[in-house]
Order: sequence, then C-alpha cells, then structure tokens
Amino acid sequence: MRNVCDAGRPATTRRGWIPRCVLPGLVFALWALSCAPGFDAVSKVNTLRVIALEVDIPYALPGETVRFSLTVADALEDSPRPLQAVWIGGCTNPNGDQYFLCFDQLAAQFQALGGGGGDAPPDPSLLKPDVITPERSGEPRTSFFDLTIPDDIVTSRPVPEDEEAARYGIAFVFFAVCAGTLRPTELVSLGGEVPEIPLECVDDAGVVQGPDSFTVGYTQVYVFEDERRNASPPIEALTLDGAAVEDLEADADDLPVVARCDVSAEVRRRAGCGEEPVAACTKYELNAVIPDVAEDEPGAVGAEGQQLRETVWVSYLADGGDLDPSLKLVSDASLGFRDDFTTEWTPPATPGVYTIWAVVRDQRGGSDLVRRFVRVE
Amino acid sequence: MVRCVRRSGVGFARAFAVIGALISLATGDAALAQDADDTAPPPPSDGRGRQVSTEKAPPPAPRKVIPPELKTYAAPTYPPAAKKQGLEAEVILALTIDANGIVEAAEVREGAGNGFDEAALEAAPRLVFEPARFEGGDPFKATILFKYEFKLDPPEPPPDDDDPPKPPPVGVYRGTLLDAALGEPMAGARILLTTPDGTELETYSAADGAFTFGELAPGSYRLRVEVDGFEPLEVSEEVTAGEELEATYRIAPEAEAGIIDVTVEGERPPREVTRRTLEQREIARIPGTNGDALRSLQSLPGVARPPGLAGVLLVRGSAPQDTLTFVDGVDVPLIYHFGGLSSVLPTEVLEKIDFYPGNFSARYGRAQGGIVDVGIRSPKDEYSGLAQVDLIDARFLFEGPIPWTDKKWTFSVSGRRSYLDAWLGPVLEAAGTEVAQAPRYYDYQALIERKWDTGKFRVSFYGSDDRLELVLGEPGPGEPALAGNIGLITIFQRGQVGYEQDITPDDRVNLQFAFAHDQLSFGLSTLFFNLDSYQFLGRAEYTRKLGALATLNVGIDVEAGQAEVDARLPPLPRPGQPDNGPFSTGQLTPADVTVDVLRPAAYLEAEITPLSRWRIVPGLRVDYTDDTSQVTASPRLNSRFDVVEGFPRTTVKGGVGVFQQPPQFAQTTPPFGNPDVNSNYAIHYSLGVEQDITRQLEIGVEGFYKQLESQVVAQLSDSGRTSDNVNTGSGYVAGAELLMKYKPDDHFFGWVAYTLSRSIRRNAPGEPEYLVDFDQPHILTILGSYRFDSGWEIGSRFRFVSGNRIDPIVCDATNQQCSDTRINALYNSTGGFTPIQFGGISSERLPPFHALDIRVDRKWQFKHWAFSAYLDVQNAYNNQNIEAISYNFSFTGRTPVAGIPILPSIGLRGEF
Repeated sequence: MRNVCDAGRPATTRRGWIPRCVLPGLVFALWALSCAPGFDAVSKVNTLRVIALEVDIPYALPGETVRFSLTVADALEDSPRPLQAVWIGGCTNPNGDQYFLCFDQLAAQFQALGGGGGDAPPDPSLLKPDVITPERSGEPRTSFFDLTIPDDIVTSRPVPEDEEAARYGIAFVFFAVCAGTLRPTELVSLGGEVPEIPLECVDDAGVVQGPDSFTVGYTQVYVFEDERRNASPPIEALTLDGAAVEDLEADADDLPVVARCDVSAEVRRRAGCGEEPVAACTKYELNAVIPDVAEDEPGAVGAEGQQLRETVWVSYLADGGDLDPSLKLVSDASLGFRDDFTTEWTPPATPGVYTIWAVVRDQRGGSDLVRRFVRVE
Repeated sequence: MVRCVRRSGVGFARAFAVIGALISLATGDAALAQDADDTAPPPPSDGRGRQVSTEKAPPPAPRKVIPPELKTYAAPTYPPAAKKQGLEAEVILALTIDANGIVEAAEVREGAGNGFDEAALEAAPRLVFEPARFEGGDPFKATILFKYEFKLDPPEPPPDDDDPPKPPPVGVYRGTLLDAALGEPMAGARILLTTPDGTELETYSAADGAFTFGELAPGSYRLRVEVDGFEPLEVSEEVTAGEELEATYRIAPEAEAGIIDVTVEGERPPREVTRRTLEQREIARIPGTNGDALRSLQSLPGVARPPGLAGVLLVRGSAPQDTLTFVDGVDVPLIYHFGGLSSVLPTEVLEKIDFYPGNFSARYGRAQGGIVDVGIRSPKDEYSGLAQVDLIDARFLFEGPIPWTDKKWTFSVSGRRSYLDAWLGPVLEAAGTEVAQAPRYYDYQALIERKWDTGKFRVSFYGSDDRLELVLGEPGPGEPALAGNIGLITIFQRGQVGYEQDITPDDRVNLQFAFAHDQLSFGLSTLFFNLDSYQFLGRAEYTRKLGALATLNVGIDVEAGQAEVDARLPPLPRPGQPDNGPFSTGQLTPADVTVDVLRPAAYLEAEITPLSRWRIVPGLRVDYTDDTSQVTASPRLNSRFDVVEGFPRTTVKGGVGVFQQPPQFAQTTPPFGNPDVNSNYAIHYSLGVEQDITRQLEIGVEGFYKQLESQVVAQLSDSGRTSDNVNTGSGYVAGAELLMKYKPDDHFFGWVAYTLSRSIRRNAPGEPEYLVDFDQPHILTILGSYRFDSGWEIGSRFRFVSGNRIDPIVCDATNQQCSDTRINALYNSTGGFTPIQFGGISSERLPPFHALDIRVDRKWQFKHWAFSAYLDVQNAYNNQNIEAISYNFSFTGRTPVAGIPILPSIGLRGEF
C-alpha cells in the first residue's frame, strides 16, 4: 500500500523530520491487515515454493568463496515436477545497494540462458544452471552455487561521509527456479524503475508459466572493512507437542501421527474475520529448539542507548494444514531472547504424510533449516 | 447572529457629501405621484419657496401637514474617480418615504454622472425620516425631493506648528438588522449607540433594516437594539479611523431569543485573491465532521479528500507539508489529532478560520501550498461554560471576567481528551495486537486577555498531545526483523503573548511571540526517531494608512531555536523508489545531531485602492534559511475589482506570486539530508469571478495554476548512499474551483463545491511526468442544513471524489497490460518477497469515493442553560469505498481494502 507519504516527495511534518502520516498509515495498515480473508497463509506450501535461500558465510571477507543454497518444494497439484534452476552472480556494489540496479550488470548472463550467449560466452563462475529432480522436492539445500567475493569489493567503494558508519561491500546473487524450461526475454519496463524480470518459464507446450510454477529471487552477502563475522543461529530440534520429531524419511513407519481436521482447505481459506472453522479440531504444538545465540550488532544503539542485538526469528511451513502463527520472534533486538516461539498446527483434512519445515534466520543473513515428516490419519 | 465586515476607508470621510437638501412637499409632480397613499395630504408649499411634491394630490384637507424630517443622515461615498479629477456635483433624488419614515424608493431627478448618481442612490435607502403627518394626526407616505451635494475639502494648508491640531480621522458604522426567525429586514428598530465618552446616539433602522452612524471617533462602541416583541441586543464593536464597519445583526423574537447563537466573525479586507471563511453555525453543523472546525475545511473547494484515516490537508494538489497552519499568527506542526478524527483546537475556542488555498499574502511564507490561519476568540466578559461528550472525546470550557478587575481582564480555560483508547484498544487487541497505550489525544487551551479601546493584550498557552503504543507480538513476513514496540508520540506546546495596538488612527502594531516546544517520538522495533525542539516564533507587523488610497503593512517573521534529533532509520525513500527488500535487515543510518534553526523573514505589502471598487495588493517577502544559507525573495501581486459594486456584486479577482518553501530539516541535515539543497518554490497564478445571485446566494469560479520548480527530491547517488537530496523536481497543478453558496440565514445554509484539478510531478528533467497519488481530478461536495422552528436541525453532505492513485504490485485484471503469469515479486533471503511495482509511479486509480453524511441536532433552551444533542452519521448508506489494495505474502493476489463503514456518532452538550 502507498499513501500520501509516498507522493511527490516524502511527506513530513511542518518541522520536517518525520513522515506526518506515519501514524494514520500505521493505523490504516493495522485496519487492513487485521482482517484479510481470502489469502493463503505464508506458511502454507501449495505451489512451487522456495523454502529457504541460505548462505554459509553471511558476513564474508574479500576473496572468500561463499556457498549459496536453495531449498525448494513443489506442492502444486500433480507435483512434484522436475525443476530447472539457474544461479547468476557477479553483481557487486550496485548504486545505493539497490538490487534492481544489478539487472544491467547481469544482462549478458541473463541472455546467455537458453543458448543466447550474446557476444561473449557466459562466465561459468557467475552463471550456473541446475536441475532438481522430483524426488528431491523439499529436501534441504538441493541446489547450490559458489561465489568468490572480489578482493576489492570494499575498497572499490567510497569511504562513508559519516565517520561512524561502517564501510562495507555487497555482492548480490540471483536465482530462478522453474517447473519447466527457463528462457531469456527482453529487458522491458512497464514504467517503473524495476524492469520486468528478463526470464520466463514455459512448460512442454511452450505456455508461459505463472508464479505457481516459477520463482525468481535474490540474496546478498555483506563484506565489512572491519572484517566482522556473523554466525548462523542453529535449530537443534523440532518438537511436536513436546516430543522431538526424528529426522526420518517420508516412508518411515515410525513417523509421528496426528489426527486429521475435517475442514477443507477452501473453507479455511475463505473464513472471514472472527470465524474459526477449525475450532473443533485437534491442534498440535510445534516448537523449533533454538538456543540463545543472537549476537550484538556492532554500532547499533537503541533509543534508550542500549546495545542492540541481531533479531532472530523462525518461520514454520507445511504442505498441509495450518500453522498459526507462521512466524515467531526468537530474539528481539532490544528485549533479547524470548523463551516461547512455538506455533500451533492444525492438520489437514486429507490423510497422508505431510512435510513441516522450520527455518530460523537472523537479520544479518544467517540461517538454518530442518525438515520433518508427520503422518495424518 | 452578528456578521461584521470591516472595510478600509475609501475616502468617504473626505468625500464629505453635504446634505444641502431641502425637504419639501412638492405639488403637481405627476411623475412622482404613482404610489401615493390615498390619505396623503394636499401639497403645500414650504417656507423657503422650494417645490415639494406628494405622490398624488389628495382631496383638500383642512389640517396642517408636517413634512418629513430627516432623523438619520446617510453619507454617500465620494466617487474616487471624480474626486481624483476634482469634480463636485449635486444630485437631486425623489424619495418615497413610508408612514414609518423609511425610504421606500429613490430615483434620480437631476443627475450629475461621474458616479455621483450611483453614490447618492446607494446612500439614500439608509436615510431615516420622521414621516410626513397631519398636525396631530397619523403619518402618511410621501414623496420628497432630496439633494446630495458632493464637495471636496479645500486643499490642506502646509503644516504649520501654529495650526491647531488636526481633528482625528473618523470611521463609519453601518449595520443591518434582520428578523432572526424570518430572515427579513427589520425596519423601524430603535438603535442606541454609546460612544467611548458615554454619549448616546440614537437612530432607527430603514426599510431594508439598514442603519448608519457616521463621523465616529475611533474607539469601542456599545450598540443596543430595541424593538417590541424581540429580545434586546447588545454588542460591542470597534470603530477604526478611516474604516467602515459593516455588521449584520439577527434579532431574535422574545420566545426563542435564548436559542439564537450570537457569534462574531471578523473580516479584514482581503489581501488575498481567495479567502474562504466559514461562519460558526456552518462549522458546527456540517455533517460528517462531528462539528469539528478544521475538519469542515475538507468540504471547501480546492481541498482533496485525504485517504482513510490520514489526518492531512491536501490543498490544490499540493503535498500535505506544503500547507501550513497558524494559530493567531504562530505556526503549529499539526492540524489534526491522530487519524484526522478531530483538529488540535476545539471549535468552541475559535473565533475564525481563514483558509487561503493559494496566492496568499506576503505575511505568510515558508509554504508553497496553502495557509490555514486560526484565531482563538476572546473570552466573554460574563461567566459561561460548556461541557460536551461524544463517542470520540469529552471537552469543557469555562470563561469569564477575572475577579476584581472590573471586567477589564477576562480568561478562558478549556480542554479535551479523546476516548479512542477506550474502544480502539480492545479492537486492536481482538485483532491480535497487544496494546501498551491505545491511541489517545488531548489538547488544552488557557488564555487571559485585557482589551481596551485601541488594542488588546493576550497571554495564552495551548498544546496538544497524541500518543500510541502497540506491542506487536510477532513480526510480519515482509519485515521479519521488526517486532516489539510500535509507538508514536506527538506533542506541541505554545506559550504565546500577543499585543495589538492602534498607536494612532493611522498606525497599528500587532506583535505575536511564542515559545514553542515540539516533540516527535517514533519507534518501530529497532528503528526510532526522537525530535525535541525548542523554538522562538515571533511575528511583528506594523500597519500604516497612507491616506485614503493605500495602507502599508510591514512585518518580520522569525523562527529561531534548536532541535535535537536522535534516530536510527533507513535512508529516506525517493519518490517512486522501488521496494528494495526488507529495510530492517539492511544497513540503517544512525543520527544524533543538534540542529540550529534560524529562519527569519521580512515582508512589505501595500493595499492600494485607486478606486473604491479596485484593490491592488503588491507584496514582497524575503526569507533567509540558515540551514541552507539561502536568501529567497517572493514577490506577489493580488487584485480584486468590483465590476458591479453593491448588490448584486460582481467581482473579478486574480493574482500571481512566488511562494518559497525551505526544504524539510530531514532533507538538509546530514546524515539523512544534504545541506546544499535549496528551497522549493512555486509560482501561483489564479483568476476568478464572484457573483451575487441573490442576497443569500453567491457563486464563485476560479481557475488556478501552480508551477512547481526546484522541488527537493531524492535521487540515486554515487556516494554509496541510497539517495541524495537535490532540487531537480518540478511539476504543476492546474485546476478550477466552483463554489455556489447559500449564506446562512435563520433556517438554511449550504453549498455546492466542485474542483477540477490535475497534479503532476517530474523528478528530474528528462524523466517521465507522473500524477501524484493524491491527485483527485473531480471533487464534488454538496451540503445543506435546515433548522426548523421547533429547534430541530437536519443536514446532509454528499461527496463524490475521484479515487486516489496507487502503485499497484499485482495488476488490475481489467488492465490490458495485466498478465497472470507476470512475476510480481522476488523471493529474498528473509523468506519474504520483494514486490515489483506494476507500471510507473501512481499508475492505477482507485474507484471513486462517494458517501452521504447525515446530521441531526436538537437544542433545548432553559432559563439559565441550554442542552443540545446531535447524531452525526458518516457514510450513511455504508458504501464500501476502496482506500487501498492489499496483497498476499507472495504478491500473487490482491484484494481491495474498504474504508470507514457507516459510522454514527452521538454527542451531548450542556452550556450556560
């Protein structure tokens, strides 16, 4: 949503310091978000879905090789399907750290897809096609890409005017994953600053696929002059109603078993505000076991002068049933570690084996992921 | 109700029209004998041998006839052009005087041209006579000849210390009496005027309810109106040298006198092309506003409808920060409380609201949009008060004379606190939001005042305090690193001293000084912004009358102080800047700065009236902005010309001027801003016409064009920051406004306002133009309110407004470019999606807004107090107006978000 704050110039108060419509906008946003039936929850995996995009060294050093990995599930009907993926690197320090300003830098790589190539052959260190078979759908880190950070990624940037501001470089990596065949398109714009994605995904019949079958994304790695590092927060276990769920295969006999909830997904999706069609169903408590590993964020001081820590949160996803909430805060920047980040799972209506993922992330790029199977009867 | 219009002197005092008239009863004048009363006496001859006529020759009568005798003289205005040419003249009128001594009709018998005839005819209805009568018998209607002589004063001798002191210039007090119940002129009412020295003058109102007291020394006058069957009316008025005070008084019948509000609304001569002023009855009764004064502005032409609960004023296509709000000449940072539900000053303390949508006086600066100037009224000199509760807030007011000061000093105290936290808190909690401090606001006003004949002194303290704090238990998928507290505190306080004094009849000073404290605190998880500002705000204006043709205004306007800012925020966005992923996980900019504020300005403005019907107002304002080290000059010129003077008035008006607006502090102060950025400026052009249709109905049409230059925008920089502020922005706003207004009478008021406009911006030369998202091409407001004799009043307001523009992410299926296979967002490493805007800036318009608001009022008058109640229903037919579009987490679907549904509000009020 945009409001008058965005128009023309930043709308600020008479004294000119803060958007004067912050509060009304906030209230309006709450109004809007407090009641929005009709959309699937973020935790529901029912299409081609990227579960996690991770990096093994969130804060890297110049010259280091960083591994990016992708966890993808295909949960659309008649899925999983074979997936084609591609990794594209090579964009560093775009103006203002704006990811979309990489598109010009990466135009040659995009065009190299599908054999276009342009005038120069693609650099294999910056462009990596990949394939994810249906059997590996949902499996953690099935596709990966290694990128070596340029030695001058920090020094090629100007020194910040503010002496207290950290000097850093940034490297972007893009990926696309398609339940079909990827092919490049013209770099076009519909009027906005961000051009349309210069890739498309087509099925065997050549029909262009939509976001249910095609996802494009990006991530970035920071490199600081002071060589600061960031450790990823780990998930030590995933519990279901207090019992740890073992990391077993989907066809294992001793999967945990839960009772189905006989309310269809469509009825749940259409539920209006204040209605809870699954109220009578049995709900199960899910909990990702995460230690308090949040680190201080260098140079970050709160409004009361307190040292701020990195924020850590956990996302829960499932290809059946409903998770409420989808996302839980593990460690608050000001208030620190929170000891309760459980969520509630209402199983689906159809019996079967379902997948649950928990992904923990910190705000500095660190992450961890677990996948578990549960049988619904 | 009293409505006063003060006009600058236009030379009538110097015109010095002499009544050299002979009043005599004429005989044998067939031309004047058409409407005679059949009982009229025979035409005699007066003792001076001049002809006197009656309208019809009655049968011979034995009794002696006493001719009409002039009781109240009405001075005509000396035609300025004739005076300039040194012309003198005589005009003989035939006046038909009824049995009450009121001039029923006047026509020119011997004219002189050059504007003399019109001046004489304009003045004649205000003459009041002792009617013609038989000696010892009844009065009767008669026609007489009456001569006005226009003579110029002899040239003033050169100054000589030995000369006796020149008599002070004088003023004129004109008034009109109306029957409050019927709205009709009230003739024959006895009017007593007590002069500053205690002398009592007496006159009677004419057929059209008019009365005049001329040749009055400047000072405070007490007026008393007495008429059988009606409540006596007493008011105080200030008569200023060389000016003409016009007032309309509505006199209440005895039975309902207690329920007639008496309010005073002052008007200065317009220095601006357009000033829109609302009467208090209009303010209090506009449906859909809860009787809130400043919210009523949103029903005027040129004011766009803010989206949803945004409490901003969008004037003629300008951004919210381009319009400034002043209280008694001192600017305040807010106009509306939280969510725009009510304004920061309650209606009860206001004397006037002047709203200038453009081409405003050089007195005002640092704004390129519009001006709202609110005046706090003087306390009453009798103890009175009120208490009111409604669903949004509760308020009180108490005022009166300060004891032991012989009513020379008066005071008022008032306050208001909202109830929002009582019901909105539980609503938010029901929606899953933990509420630490539900939204609430309060405001307060305290004032003491001393008035005397030639001035007043006032000390006031007022302020506003809005607070909200929510605890978001869990972050959202779009900004997962934002959780915890969301809070906003907005506080302003003003301690103000005002001094107004007529030094001489030609010299006046107006000083307003305020100590201002502003506090803004905004927190959102680890992001925060704290501003604490202490400033001195001062304004001094000196007004000098330069004869009858010109008045000079010279003033200074200073802002000085210091602001401390402590913040941790992402860089401010550029207009139309694409989403770059979660900003809470990016690199934030800390700031801990102290900013010295120094923005002095000086202005000079002349009000020139070369003709009584023509006013020209050239002005120049020079501003210095210390944070940008920039001096700017703003020349302005406004003019109004009455094509037809008097009723039905036709006025052509226009203006052109430069309006400089310094950058916002956030735009100039590192690390967020760029100290090298300069002021924005706009050139306003306007041209319009006003036309009286009837005494109550007037229509105005005005076209405007605002050329926006040197606009501060942020652009991508090579410095590694997201953006730098530069002056590459430009744009324009073009439009036209129509206002057809039925002025309040005792039963009805209402208007139709329509605005057609287009508001365009361009971020830099060569970049595409775009419509701002509050661009609303069509704004139609129709409102009216009718008061029944029974005490009930019912009103309604209908609005139809073009939808606001948005930047869609998911395209509208009706758009031909829309494809369901489009990738609307990119997955990012936080597990969320970064949206990609569909189309250019503000590329989609939401559906039109329309709503009907209804208001019902009832007032019960008791002996010592009054009780009133109202029901105000917003969006009475519950239209689902679309205020925004919301999207699912991956931006593959969209759904409209409706605005305020039907919203009834009930208020109760007691006052004494």
